[in-house]
Amino acid sequence: MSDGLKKLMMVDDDAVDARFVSRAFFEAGSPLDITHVSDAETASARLDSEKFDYILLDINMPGTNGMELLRRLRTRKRTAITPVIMLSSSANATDISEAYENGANAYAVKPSTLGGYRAFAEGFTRFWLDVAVSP
Amino acid sequence: MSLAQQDFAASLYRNLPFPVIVTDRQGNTVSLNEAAKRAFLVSSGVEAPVSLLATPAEAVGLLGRLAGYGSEQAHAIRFRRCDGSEFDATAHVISLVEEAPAQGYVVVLRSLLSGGSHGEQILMGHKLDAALDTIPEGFAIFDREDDRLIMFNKAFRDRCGPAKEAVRVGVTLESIIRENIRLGVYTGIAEGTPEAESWVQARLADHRDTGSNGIVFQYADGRWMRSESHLTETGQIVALRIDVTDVKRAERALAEQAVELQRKNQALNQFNATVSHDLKAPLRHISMFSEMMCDDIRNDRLSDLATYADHIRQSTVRMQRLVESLLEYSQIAYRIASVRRVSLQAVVSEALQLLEEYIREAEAVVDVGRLPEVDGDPELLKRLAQNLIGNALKYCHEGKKPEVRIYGRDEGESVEFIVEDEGIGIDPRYADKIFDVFQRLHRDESVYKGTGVGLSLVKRIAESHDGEIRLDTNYGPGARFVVTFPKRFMISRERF
Repeated sequence: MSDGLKKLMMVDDDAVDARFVSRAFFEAGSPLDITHVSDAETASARLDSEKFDYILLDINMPGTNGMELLRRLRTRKRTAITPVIMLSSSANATDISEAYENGANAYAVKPSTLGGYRAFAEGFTRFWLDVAVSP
Repeated sequence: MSLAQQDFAASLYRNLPFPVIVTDRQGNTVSLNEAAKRAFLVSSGVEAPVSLLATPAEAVGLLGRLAGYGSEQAHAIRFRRCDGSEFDATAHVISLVEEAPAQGYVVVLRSLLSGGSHGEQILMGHKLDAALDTIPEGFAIFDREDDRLIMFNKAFRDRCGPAKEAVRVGVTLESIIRENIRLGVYTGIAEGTPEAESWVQARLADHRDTGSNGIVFQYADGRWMRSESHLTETGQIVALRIDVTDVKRAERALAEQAVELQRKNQALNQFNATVSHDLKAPLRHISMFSEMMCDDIRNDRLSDLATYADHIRQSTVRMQRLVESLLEYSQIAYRIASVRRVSLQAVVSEALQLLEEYIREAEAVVDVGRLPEVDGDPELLKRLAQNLIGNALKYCHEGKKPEVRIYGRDEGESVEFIVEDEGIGIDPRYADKIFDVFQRLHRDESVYKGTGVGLSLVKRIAESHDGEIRLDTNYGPGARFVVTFPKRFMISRERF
């Protein structure tokens, strides 16, 4: 996109975690337009009509969970190849492999330190914004 | 034959301990030895009877056929004594002249199968019969050529069902099966129908299949039997009828245990997954906010400290509630209930007492209809009611007084316990999911407090009573939960 910031949708029911992420991206100076959505169904509806460059997706959410949303997104033309990065508190091997099997581009475990969040935001920015070529 | 040889043969014939009969071509008795005279109660002064076979009319054909098998083979034959009484014995039938047509036959009785003893050998057979009768498993020997019964013990006869009156030496297995069909033993199989014919053929095929491990089937009053056929060295079929009810019941108990174990494993897996997630979130928050507090204090920024501390406090409160719910869930989830007759009416009024304060504060309207009795654990059922009613009160529209209706329904074999409300309702998509541990549809705890254990607990209690719970998705806009209980229930452990 030439006309400005890349758009990131963050899907997470935990408002506190969402704030940590936004804050970390802000502190890392990432040129991102972040939209926080707190449930999968709202995210699903919005992603159906609006273009986002990246999706940051939690797994364990009330109602429809992140894994179900990921599967749904991959069947849709608009979001079939949009980079989806899972950010979950689960370090469970099953969740991780299932996420990749369902088409996730990366998987990160939610950090529990400020430093961890900083590393995540910086790493994300350096790779996805500076290095990777978007579809 | 020399004179000495003739004397020897005559003496042997006379003194042989086995009853021997010599007949003419028509099967009429020509001569009997001493043992035979005793066995057939022939008084010495009386002429030998015309025939000693129970069915003289068939004698010609029968003797000719049996002799054809060779003198080595013994066959079951029914005889008639002079006083008219009948008995079964195994006997060899030997043609007097080897070339056809036979001039007559020698019938040598070997062992008695029923109706009194005659001769040492026969006495021995009798002892063997008596011994076999003491065995609790059915035992019989059948002729392989025509499926005729050669011998059987008491248990075999008893296990032939209502047809047992017709069971005797010489009858065919087919006639026993047909008699049972006539007496209506097999449900859905009527005499003279094609089903009956194929049933007979299938049973005969099972009987003749001596290579398999036999078949297991149900008979009288839920008992199970294994029917086996074995081929003897001498070419007969040994049929065994073994009662395997205990084994079958143990198998079923084991299968039930396996299902229960699987259920527990699933619960445990879910428990693990959710504990790792739901307990980790507040922990992570505590770690983050305390780190932020440290940073701010070091840098002399004090304005946000109270907010951070408040977040930490909220996280610890949430963790505490989670841990308490988990403890409650794990205690109940694996408890085996003590079962007695419980009035759901009483259970509900106790549950309402516990919720009294809440009901008063919310100014809720609770309507309790007629409720049935069920078999179960009163303490667990109270928790079930308390959780369902508590949810109905909790998930109401803000600012609106909750309305809850509790009633029962008789569904024949089962009863239903129903709790419905006029609250915010549940999306039908989540009709199953809501019963998983820690599944919450509302993350915002400032409006609806909860840890997501309640409904999984209710489900677990319903299942431990052999019941089930469902969300009635046809009902709306509020929520209606229907718990189904069997009218009569015993816990698995006591069932056998």
